[in-house]
Amino acid sequence: MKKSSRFFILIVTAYLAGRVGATTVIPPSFDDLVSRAETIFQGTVSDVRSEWTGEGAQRHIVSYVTFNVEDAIKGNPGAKVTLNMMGGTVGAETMEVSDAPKFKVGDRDILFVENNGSQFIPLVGIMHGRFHVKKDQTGRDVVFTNDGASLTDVNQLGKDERAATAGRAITTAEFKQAIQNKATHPSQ
Amino acid sequence: MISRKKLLALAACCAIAFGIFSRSALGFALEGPKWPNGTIPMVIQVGTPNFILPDGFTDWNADAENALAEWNEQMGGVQFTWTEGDPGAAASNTNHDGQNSVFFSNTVFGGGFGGKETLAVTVFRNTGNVMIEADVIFNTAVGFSSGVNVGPGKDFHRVALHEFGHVLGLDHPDEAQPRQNQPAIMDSTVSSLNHLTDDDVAGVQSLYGAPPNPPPVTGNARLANISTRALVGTGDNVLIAGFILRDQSKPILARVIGPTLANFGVPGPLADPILGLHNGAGNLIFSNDNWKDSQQSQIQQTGLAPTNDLESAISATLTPGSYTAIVSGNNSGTGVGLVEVYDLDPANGRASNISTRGLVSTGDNVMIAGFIVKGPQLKNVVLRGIGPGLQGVVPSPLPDTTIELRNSQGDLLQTNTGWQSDPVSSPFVSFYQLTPNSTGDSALYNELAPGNYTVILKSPSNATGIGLVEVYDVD
Repeated sequence: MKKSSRFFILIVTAYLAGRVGATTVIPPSFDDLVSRAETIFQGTVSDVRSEWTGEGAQRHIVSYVTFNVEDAIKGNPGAKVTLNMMGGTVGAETMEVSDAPKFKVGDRDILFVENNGSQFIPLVGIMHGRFHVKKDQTGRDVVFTNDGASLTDVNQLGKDERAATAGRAITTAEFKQAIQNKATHPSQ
Repeated sequence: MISRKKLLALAACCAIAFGIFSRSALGFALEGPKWPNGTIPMVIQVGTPNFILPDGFTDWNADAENALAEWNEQMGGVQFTWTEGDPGAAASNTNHDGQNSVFFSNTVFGGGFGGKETLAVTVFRNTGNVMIEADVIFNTAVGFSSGVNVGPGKDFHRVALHEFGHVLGLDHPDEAQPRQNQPAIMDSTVSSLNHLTDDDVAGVQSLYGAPPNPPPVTGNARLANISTRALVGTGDNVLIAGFILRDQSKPILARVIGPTLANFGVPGPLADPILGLHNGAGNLIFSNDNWKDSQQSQIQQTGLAPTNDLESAISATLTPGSYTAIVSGNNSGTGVGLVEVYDLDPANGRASNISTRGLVSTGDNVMIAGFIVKGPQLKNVVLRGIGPGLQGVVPSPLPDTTIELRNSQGDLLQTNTGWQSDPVSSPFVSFYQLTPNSTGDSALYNELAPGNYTVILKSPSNATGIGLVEVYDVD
């Protein structure tokens, strides 16, 4: 088949499917992110420690990722939060889960947390529940998605990921305000 | 003469340009670890659904195994192998049992999926850059089906192709830095692809090399062995099977089965068929009454000789072009006949756009066309049932049409009455410029798994008339 035909199929099927989300994780909408998260906070990774855990069929490597909480946006996470993420490195052996976000000490993030301790990655929408915080050229804290794209429009999250990440990144203050507005007035 | 300095500058420019273009052309991303050369044994434990998969796969296992085979045909240094395991035993799978398992579960080794948005995950272990074990877990909560026509996020085949890419060591190219925009089954976002792309193949071949003679990345599945069963009349009501050969000359065997149909309970079989093979100009190039008349040994060597001496067969090597096989009854006899065209060299060249025109009646005398898809890739097809669109072309065309696509077990995969009534198929039918002449004609689009299929053409109002059933290879 000509490549144009294949592109057509891609376009038509995407249209018919209402723009299917991620191949293996469908991204949640902003409404879902906010409403499903038990806690939402901004924090900095202070420690990552991995070990084998569980017994029998459930035995696996888990990484305990500890954050110093700098701003509680929803819920009461406390001053420190430790999230249990499946995967990590113990000795020479590494266990990874496709689509799982990777954390290292010093990462600054805004996290939408659900089911910590019982979900393989305790974030709403797995990698979609993690947003990076970075300085822009003017020194402001701005927001990036887990895959490093500028977050520009929260209302496009889960609908049109390209549109959600096309243009200037919003600031953390703008993002947090949007979260608080949504948490306070879910229907708006 | 170009100076050495200019040559060096030109070379540098070429290198930069090549770097840019190769970056944009080959944007694949790698996880890091890879398998040592050899085989990657997989244990497939996904079992059988309690419903019919609309793209023709007989069960989840076959669907997953086909996805593995699609990767295999593009890889040199490693090959997937597989065995089927008991889905009921999957609950005891671990990520440290030395077995590469593919199974459904509602947890990731005990950890919740976090809803049904997470369709599947691949969990892999490695030491250094060497893969030790990889397990693919499909989320039970998703409610998978398979095929281009299923709802968003539910196409098992597409997700299987993606996850097996992770097993091989591929990551999401659209999340690489810098991002790339090539369509790829390995992309993390917005993808309804259900086949590998050039980018996916470039990625896997960067890890494992290419096989000696890799097939085209897409469109290398084949249609083969067409057949149609219908009522054979006289005059305009004879049975006419058409097919087109592409690319290169191809040996075929065409035959007509008549009296033998009685052994299969078909009432009113054609007692003594005659077969004529015509080229695109309409000239008769071969004809046969009884298959032993002139090519007995040649036909027997194909293993496809009819069982009744009165039945007809022609063995021929045909150049690319369009052909029609016309079936009639000796001494103007009528009855139900089965015309078949076998591709005797499916590896080379291909048959496309196969069709049969004949009298469509009711009950056992509806028109039944059969075809085979040779894989491992899926085959994109448009199926048409033409009746009212033959107005002015033939006398007494079928006034309305319904077509049904069925798998080799006879299970209904798709049906259509009036091509515009199918919101999924109709855009594809239009795109491929296969729009029927009449709204009463029917058409379907599908991306079919390797296997045997039948298309049934009939009238939804139980009318009779001349109809045309067509199968188009649109790859």
